[in-house]
Order: sequence, then structure tokens, then C-alpha cells
Amino acid sequence: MTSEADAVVIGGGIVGAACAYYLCAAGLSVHLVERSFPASGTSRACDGLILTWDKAPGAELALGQASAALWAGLAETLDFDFEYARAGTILLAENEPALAAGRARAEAMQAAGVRAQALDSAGLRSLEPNLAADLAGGAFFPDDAQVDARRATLALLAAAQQRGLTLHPQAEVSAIRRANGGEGRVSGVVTTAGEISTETVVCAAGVWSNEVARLAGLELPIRPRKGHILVTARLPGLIHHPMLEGGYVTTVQSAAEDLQVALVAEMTAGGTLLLGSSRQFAGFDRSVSLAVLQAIAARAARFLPALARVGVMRSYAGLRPWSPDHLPLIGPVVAVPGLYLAAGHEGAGIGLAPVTGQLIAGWVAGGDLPPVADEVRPDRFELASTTLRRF
Amino acid sequence: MGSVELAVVGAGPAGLSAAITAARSGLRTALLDEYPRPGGQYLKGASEPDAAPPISAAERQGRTLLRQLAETDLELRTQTLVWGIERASEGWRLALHGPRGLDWLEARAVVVAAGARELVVPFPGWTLPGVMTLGAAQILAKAHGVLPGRRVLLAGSGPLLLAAAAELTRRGARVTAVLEAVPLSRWLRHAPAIWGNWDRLGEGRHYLAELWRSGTPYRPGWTVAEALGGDELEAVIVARLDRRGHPIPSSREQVPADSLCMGFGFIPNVELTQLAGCAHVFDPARGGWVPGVDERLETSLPGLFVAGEAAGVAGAAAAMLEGHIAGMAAAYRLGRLPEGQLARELAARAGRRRRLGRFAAMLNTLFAPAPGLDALITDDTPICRCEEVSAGEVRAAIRGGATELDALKTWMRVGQGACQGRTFGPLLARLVAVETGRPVGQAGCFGVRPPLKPIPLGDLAQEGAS
Amino acid sequence: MSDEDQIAFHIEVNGQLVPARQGQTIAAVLLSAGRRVWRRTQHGDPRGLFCGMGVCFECLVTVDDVAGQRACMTLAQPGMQVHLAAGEESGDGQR
Repeated sequence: MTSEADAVVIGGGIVGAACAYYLCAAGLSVHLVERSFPASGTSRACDGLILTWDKAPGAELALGQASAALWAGLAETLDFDFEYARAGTILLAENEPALAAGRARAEAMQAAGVRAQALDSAGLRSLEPNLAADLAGGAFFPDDAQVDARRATLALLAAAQQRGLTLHPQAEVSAIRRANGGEGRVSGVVTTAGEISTETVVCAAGVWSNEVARLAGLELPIRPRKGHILVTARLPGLIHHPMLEGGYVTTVQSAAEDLQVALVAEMTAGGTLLLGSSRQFAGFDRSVSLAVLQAIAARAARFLPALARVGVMRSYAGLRPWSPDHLPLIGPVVAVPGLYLAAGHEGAGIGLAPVTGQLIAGWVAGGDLPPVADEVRPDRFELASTTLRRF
Repeated sequence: MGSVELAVVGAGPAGLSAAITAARSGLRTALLDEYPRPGGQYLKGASEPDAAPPISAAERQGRTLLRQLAETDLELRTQTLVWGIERASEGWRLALHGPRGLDWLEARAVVVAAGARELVVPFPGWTLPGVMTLGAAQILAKAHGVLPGRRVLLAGSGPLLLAAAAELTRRGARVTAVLEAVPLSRWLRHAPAIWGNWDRLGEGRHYLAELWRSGTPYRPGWTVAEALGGDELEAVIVARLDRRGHPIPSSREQVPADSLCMGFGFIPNVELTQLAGCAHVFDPARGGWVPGVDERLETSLPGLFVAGEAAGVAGAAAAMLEGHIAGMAAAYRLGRLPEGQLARELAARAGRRRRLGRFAAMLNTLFAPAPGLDALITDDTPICRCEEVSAGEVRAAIRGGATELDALKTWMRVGQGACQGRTFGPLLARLVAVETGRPVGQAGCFGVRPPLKPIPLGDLAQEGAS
Repeated sequence: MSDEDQIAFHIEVNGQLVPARQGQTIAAVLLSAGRRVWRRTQHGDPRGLFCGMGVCFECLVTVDDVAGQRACMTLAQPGMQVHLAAGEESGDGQR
């Protein structure tokens, strides 16, 4: 069975959902193909933080700020509640060197237009009374926000469906057709649920984008970077802001092969705590490592002693799509006209989803693109596969 | 970190049998159980002074195992939860939690004898205090001498319904009725599978005689449609079922009761084997999702064995037989038993295993809750008790496209609570099957991740050491 | 089954002394004493014993200041202090 679409989005996680939403809002007829169920990949195995201060000033921060503003707007306009909250986030400095680094970061952020406030030990405790008493201080970033990542994905999809999106769950793409004997523009996709003819394909398949890209003879530099989260029993009121230890920034920017653990604590709307974080290159293995759970638990107990008797209810592991320069790949692929990438967001997929969708809609539907669009173009990498092109 | 040659998880009939067999073959064996005492559910209260005399060979054998436990050289660790499992260089590493906190145990082989839990089909009011499973009532009576209430109604289906009813009446409970959802006509069709399983029939006859002696009404083809009360159970609405198991509205009757004990059979506890990552199959004749095993009860992962109800619901006699086989198979795998001897033991028990398996499959099929009972799950009945998600919300999500259990868990909070979906997982699969028209097995299971049950964060953060 | 002769000790339940026997779980002790509502859900629904075997996590009570303990899996010990967050007590300030 063949259908027709102005654009096909491959991948039903938050980035795919955002692309579908903005493309539909631009008036295109869009089909989204998801090989399992929506949000079945990394979007249901992450936290929901929308951060600015972990981003490098420049393109990364520009994307972060733009996307944060879009999230605030979506929280107002989308029907489906995704537990958006904007309480700001706190950087925790365990000791004097971390405090100095935290202050420097606050200043750099302020210089870039992000509101930030350095905190000494007393200031930190006044914001978060349940923190350990011996922390040196930290910094407060009042404009940061959080969402429920799964609900946010479903909210974008629901809104896109209201604007005409056709959703194909449990459907896998097996081929990308091209005109002119396989050398020309994209002409359609073949899926396990039928063919869709289209001249625009957006690959938003997260860590699995390479599988999709290979269908078009491309090799992407995206690698899975595994993270773990523990979920606690409900403890309403234990913390008032999401908190991250200062070392978190180092782990995010690092490309180290070994395991990196840095505390991230986020309270959900229901009062459970999501505790992370871990980063390691472990292929596509999503099994939960007991040693990593222990390491996260240890950091959590160090900063929040009240957690000692609190039950850890469950855990999960997710795969961040890591890119070598820590910027996502958003935009057209020159070698394959009609193919766009929207992938490689590492741990910022939730935060950067709206700006990604907006950029993709700008590229596809034609519109003003901000300067940052140039800095995240996929072709900054060598993408062509060295193997012979297949028909 | 401690290490043994064989770790047996679960000290019920299968686990006791496996551990004792293995230890007698010379394996250094640890037997672990979450409960403070060994014996599992089947043998709870067996050592009490007021325990009923055993009425079957299986009960006698179970009590013998408990006595043999004391004389066997193995390490018994009670109040010990196995919350995680990972491969180790020479076998497995078990993550434990006990009264002294976190611990680790390495074992070259593992027998999972984690038993089964009861299935209850939800209905309005099923969360009221006073409504409990058959097993809960039976344990209270057998192990603690406590009756669940003053006017007790039992309902559901299967062998445990009769056994629990007999136990309660023996102890003087006022049981107003025993409602068996399966009508007599269905029983007669399955009669041929009874051949060779006279022991089980004898148990059934014994329980029925107890009910007759006490004048307790036994009503096949009836169930409970609703539980009523303010903060606690005060009355129930009972209803007769038609041939497809649908409650007949005109038959509804209100009956006073302060205790309702219900159960519709068992669900194998496969969380540990799923976490270990071995292959599982959906087999309704064995109670649902079960690990795939060969004739030696080894799973698709070398050195990981399963025995008893966790391998398929088949009763205590089968559990003890399987435990013995798994113990021997583990001993063989670790070089303590010649292959010839293992083969002989397997052959000697093959016939009995087949008979027990046939009977169990018959029981599981006969007593499986009829599809018509789903009509009792009204839209405002909570399906996920922990997170208070209603059946109506679940049905809407299924219609919206969430057609597997993990999709439902992503869409809403079902299965994210303390029980991690254990209480209602199979019911959820049934709801999916009803809405989608696809087989129940296609709805899948909830993904399993550690900790299998909650553990305190401070303990998790402990540096693990024996 | 709870003759005066067989009472071994007492535990405290919301400040009141309740008789218990050696080997009984907290669940059995509470039911013996006629207490069946042990906690309330987020929406205020009453809950108590359900599965009796440690699987359903409905029977959660606080034991010696540690919350979230399964009453059906915990043996009663002399001097234990059990707190039920059942929300209907008078006189102990609980809601």
C-alpha cells in the first residue's frame, strides 16, 4: 500500500515528535514512522531537564536558550499536560575548587545572557535545607525548567496529529528510495507497513540513526553513550529544584571512554526523585549495571543524607546519541537531496527538541534560519560511506 | 564477597529439594529466601503445633524436606532478597539485601525456585481492606492461627480455593460460601487428564469433605462482582456466570461479609530469570510467561536453572521433583555427577513428570479465568493499585495505540509503583488482547530492571562486602 | 488461637500496646487485634493486607521509624513500634 506525504519523519522519540509538530504547523502533510511505540527509545529512559548552564557558550548555548524559550511557549499552547515546571536548577559545589569553578560558570553564563547567581554555603542551604551541611556552595540558574520527557513526546505527537500527522507505530523503514536510478533526490521510503512516497525524509532516530543513514549510503559519527537513572519512592518536599553536582559539566563535555558519574537529582511532579547520572560508551547495551547504580546511590547519599532510608524503587538505562563535537546534526545532507538529519543530541535531546523541530521546518518549508543553523549542519562531518553505494 | 558453587533462590518445595540434592552431591550450596523462614508458601505453618496432619504424599514429602534441611550441610540465608543478577567470570553474581544491608554472592550455577504469586481479576471494590488473596488467608490461618474475618466469603477458582476453604473451616471460621467461577459442566470435559493423578484427586475429595462436614455452601459457576464498604469490607455482590463466564445481571445478590478471599490461579515469578536475560515463552498451560528450559531444567543461559512454579505452575509434587532434577543437573554441570547417573535419574522420573505436567496443564486450562470475567473490570476499577490507574484510563491508552505493556508504562504510570506490575501484569495483557483482538502473548511483559524489589538507597550505596 | 496463655509479648501500634506471639508477622498481629486499615493511598483510599506474600506492597507500615516495611514479611519482635498511616486515628495528631 502506498501513501504520499510532503515529509516522512523516521523516529518517534522527542526529536522526531518535535520535527513532526513543527513540519505540520508549517502546513506540510507529514507521516512519522516509528519501529516500536512512541518514546520507546531514549525518550523514556532519561530525565526531563531543560538546562542552559551545561552548554558551551556559542552555538550550543544559543540552541539551548532558543529551545528553552520554545518549551515555555509549548507548555502554554499544547493541550496534553507534560508537567512543565520552571523552578531553576542548582549547581552543587562540594569543595572550594568546585565552588570556584561554579562561580566562573555563573559569570560566564551571565555574560552570555543567562541569569545566574553564585551561592555560598548558607545561600545553598537556604534554597535546599536537606542538602548535606558540609557543601562549599554552588550556583543558581533561575530560568532552567523540567518536563516529563515521555509525556512531552506524546504531547508533541498529539498536537501534530491534531494538525494532520499520520503516525505509523510498529513500522520499520527498510529502504530509502531515490530518483534517477538511485542518484537523485529522495523519492520515498519502504516500511514494513507499506510504502510512502515523499521527497523529504527526516532522520530523527536517535542512537539508531546510523541504521537509517546507511540505507542512504551514509555513515554517521553518532555513538551511543549510556546513562543510568534510579527512581526513588515518593518524597514530596525533599528538594525544591533540580540539582547537579559541578562535575556534571565535565562529564558532559568529556569524550572519555571510561565510566563518568556525577549527581543529577530531579523531582518529578509525583514526588519521586530521578537520580543520575552516568556516562559510558558501552555499545547498544541497555542493561542496567549494578555497579553504576551503586555509584549513583553513593553520590546521592553524599549530597542528600536524608535519602539513606529511602527506597530505590526501580532503575533504567538509556542511550544518548553522542556526537564528536558535542553539537547535534541538524539540517540537509548535501549528498542525498531531500534527506535531513535531526540527531546526535547526546544528553540534551529533551531540551533541544523544539529548536531542532523549528530548524528542520525552516530547512524543509523554507524560512528564515538563525545563524546557528549553519553551525549544526550535518555536512561539517564526512558522511559518505566508503563502501559501494547500494541501489 | 561470598562465593558458593550453587545458589538456590527460594526455599519453597522446589528450592528445598534442589538445595538438598545438590548439597548431598557435594556441592557447596547456599539457599536463599526473602521470608524469615524456609518452606515457601506451601509449607507455611507446617511446623506449627496446630498444623493439620498431611493429607497427601506431597505434603508429607514437603515436611520431610524441612526436616532434612536441618541435617544438610548447606548455607541457609533467610530474610535475604535477591534484587539483581549479573554474569560473573565463572558463573553468576547475585546482588543480595538482608538485615545487615547489601551483600553479594558469586555462584558457579544458580537454581531459580522463586515460586508463583496469585492472580486476582479486579472488580469494583477489590482494594478495600478485608479483600485479600486466598493465599493470604491460608497463610494467616496456617502459620499464625489468625482468621481473616468473622463472615468470610471465598471466591475465584482452582485448587487453592478448596484448600483455603477447608483450612479456614477446620479452624472454625464462619465461611458463608465458597464460590467457584468454573461451572461443573467444564470440569467434566477435562476428566481424562485426571488419570494417574489420584493423589491430587484425593486432596480435592478431602477438602470437599471438610466443606460438606461444616455445611459450607459450595457454588460452582458463581463469583463476586463487587465489594462494598466504607473504609473496610462490609458486603459483597455475588453473581452467577453464564457459559462464557459473563456475570448474569439478574442474578446479582448482596451478601454481608467482612472478609473476601479470592484467587484465580497462579503467575510464575519470572522476574529474576527475565533480569538474567534467558529466553522466555508464553505458555498459558503453564501459567503464562515461563523460562524456556530443556529436560534438565537449564535455561538458555548455561548454569542458570529453574525449578518449581517459577518454571510453570504445576503444584508442589512437580516442584519437588523438578527441584531434585535441577539439583542433579547443577551437580552434573559442575562435575559432581556422572552423566550416566543424571540420564538414569531423568529417565526414572520421566513418566511421573509427564503425568504431573498433563494434570497441571489441565488444571491451568480448566481454571483459567474466563474471558467473560473481564466484564467485571469496570472502567473506574483501579487496575494498577499502587499508582491508582483505572481500567478506563488503560483502555483509552490501548485504543490510542499503546498495545504492549511497556508502551502503557510509558504512556501512564501503570507498573511504576512498588509492585512493578506484578499484581496486574497478566490482566493488563488481557485488556490489550481484548481491545486489539490479538493474542495475549503479543502484549509482552513489563521490562525488568534491578532492584527487583525496593531497597534503601543508603544500603545500595554501601561498599559491598560479605 | 489467641488465648491469654499464648501471648508472648506486646508491640506498639500507633502508641497502643497490642499482643503478639512469637513467630507472628506484623500483619498477623494487626489482624488479630482487629486492625485492617493500615495506610491510605495518595488519593486517600484505605489499604491493608492483600497478597500476604510480599509481592503487592499494599501492607506497608512504618516499623521503628523505617517507613515502607511490608507487614506480611516482617516478624513481630518485642518492643517493636509500628506506625500505621491510616489517617483515622484520634489523639495522635495523624491525618
